[in-house]
Amino acid sequence: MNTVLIADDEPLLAKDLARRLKRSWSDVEIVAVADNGLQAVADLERLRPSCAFLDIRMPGLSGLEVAAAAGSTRIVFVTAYEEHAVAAFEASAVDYLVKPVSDARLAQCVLKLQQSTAIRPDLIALLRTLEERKPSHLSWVHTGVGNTTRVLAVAEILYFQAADKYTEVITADGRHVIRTSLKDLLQRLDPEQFAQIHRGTIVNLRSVDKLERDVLGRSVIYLKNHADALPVSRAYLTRFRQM
Amino acid sequence: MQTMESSVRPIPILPVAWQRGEYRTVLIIVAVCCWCSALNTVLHQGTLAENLIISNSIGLTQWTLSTIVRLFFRGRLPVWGSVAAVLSGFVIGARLASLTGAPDIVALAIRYPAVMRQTMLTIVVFGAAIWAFFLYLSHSRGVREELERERRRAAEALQAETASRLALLQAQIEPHFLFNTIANIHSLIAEQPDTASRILEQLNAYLRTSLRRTRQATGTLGEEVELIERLLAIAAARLGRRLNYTVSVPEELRSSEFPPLLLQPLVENAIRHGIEPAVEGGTIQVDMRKVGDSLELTVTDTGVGLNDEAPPGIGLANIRARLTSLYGEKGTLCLYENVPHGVIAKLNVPAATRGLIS
Repeated sequence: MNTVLIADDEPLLAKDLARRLKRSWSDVEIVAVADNGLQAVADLERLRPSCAFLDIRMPGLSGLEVAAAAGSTRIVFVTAYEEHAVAAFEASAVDYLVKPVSDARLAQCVLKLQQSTAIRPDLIALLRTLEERKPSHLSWVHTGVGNTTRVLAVAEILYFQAADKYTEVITADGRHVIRTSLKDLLQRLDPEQFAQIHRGTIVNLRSVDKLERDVLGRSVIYLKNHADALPVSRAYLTRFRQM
Repeated sequence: MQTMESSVRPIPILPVAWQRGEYRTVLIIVAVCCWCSALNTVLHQGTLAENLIISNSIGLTQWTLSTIVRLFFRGRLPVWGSVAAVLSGFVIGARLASLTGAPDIVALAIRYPAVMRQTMLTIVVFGAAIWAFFLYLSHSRGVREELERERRRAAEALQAETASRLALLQAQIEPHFLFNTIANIHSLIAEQPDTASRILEQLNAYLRTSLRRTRQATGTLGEEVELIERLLAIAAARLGRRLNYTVSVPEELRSSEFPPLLLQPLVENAIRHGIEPAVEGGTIQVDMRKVGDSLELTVTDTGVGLNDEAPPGIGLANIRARLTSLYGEKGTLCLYENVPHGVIAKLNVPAATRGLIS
């Protein structure tokens, strides 16, 4: 008897897959249907099914992360449409299915599962390569306004300005205050998008209109759609020369 | 970054942008000074040579001083700067002229005020006239530059608008959404054909409304509400018990004008980045109300909230660009953290009277 785990966050799809698996595979038992990644890992470890059909986009943990806990369970990925990751795991998973799965394609997959003796794809290495690709730069800045917390997308920020123990965040619609220091911010911001231009200033390069130097050698950055002019100190000017 | 590189270039003595007008300015000053000295020679006292030296010396010293002031103000000449340049230029210019042997008219005027009254009056009248002329010239140049900037901004806004419309049109028929919905319908056909048929109808109506709205520049809030209700109905069918939603819109607001592609992407974000990644799912609540002269639309979800795992993507930037191009500073989008988790997105736009959005 083959035991199967199905993990998909869309209940209709999970139910349909279970029904059709039973139809095209005589000796199969669906031992668990999980609707999120965490549940799927728990079920995998508890029941040790012979195969698992994992959706890739799931809440909690992604299908790829769940697969890392698979042990001897053979993995089939099921995805809504070909994402970039597909190419990466194509070589190592037993099979991958694209929804909606046709009966013929499912039969082919079952055949593959029956013939394959537990191929253990090196999923952990695969995960690592996927994680490396994901940049972990700051995307959101949380700032307090009274009792509410305003969330600013980093892309909408024009520049950061150090002010005593705080940092001012300037966007098109106003100034906000955060507690993170400029130094900490600099480490967490995407260096492709943000640059320090002064001891107390980090500017969003996408909001820069132009850099001007006057006759005294002082450099000033003018912003698009904003009146502020930001002085650039000599020490940080090299960044702009190199580009 | 290329543009930045090109603007860092060797510094000429005067910024290139205002060198062009300088020769003409100097010529005008010399011409007026010559005329002024000829008049003084005829009407009052002194030889023509002396008067030429004195008035040109004063005029050019004033010009030099005002140029120095401008160097410190990036090409602009503040009014106090021009007053200071004119007054001190007068004294210094007269002093310089006296070095060549011509009388120092300032010293003379102080010593013999009665004799010099006529001469000084001529100089002051001419000086005031030329000063006013240049003030007007620099002012009109400022106005022209402002106009140019405004025109450029409008062109950029138009471009951004076109780009965002295209990007959003693509995002609307977003493959993940479309394929998932089709997969769901497919899974229902055999067992629950009625439900399958209902979702298919929703999808059909959604795509139809969505395409029509994207082509139009404007539409009504009622149409937008219809669109997001269909979107939410499809999402609820897909996500099952994990999604609950409410849409509340006062009946009288349904007919008010509202442009497409502002509210809908916020609802899509709430589904895709709020509820879909949440193990327990959550609730999406869409509220609309009129606050004074503006329309406040709120999309509240109890999903996972904003974190660095969920980068903002192109959607928010597009909404902001659209808000700016449609309403300028009057259209705002603010995101807040929901308690205990989730996001509150608040959209504020002017309550449009017909014809405002073209």
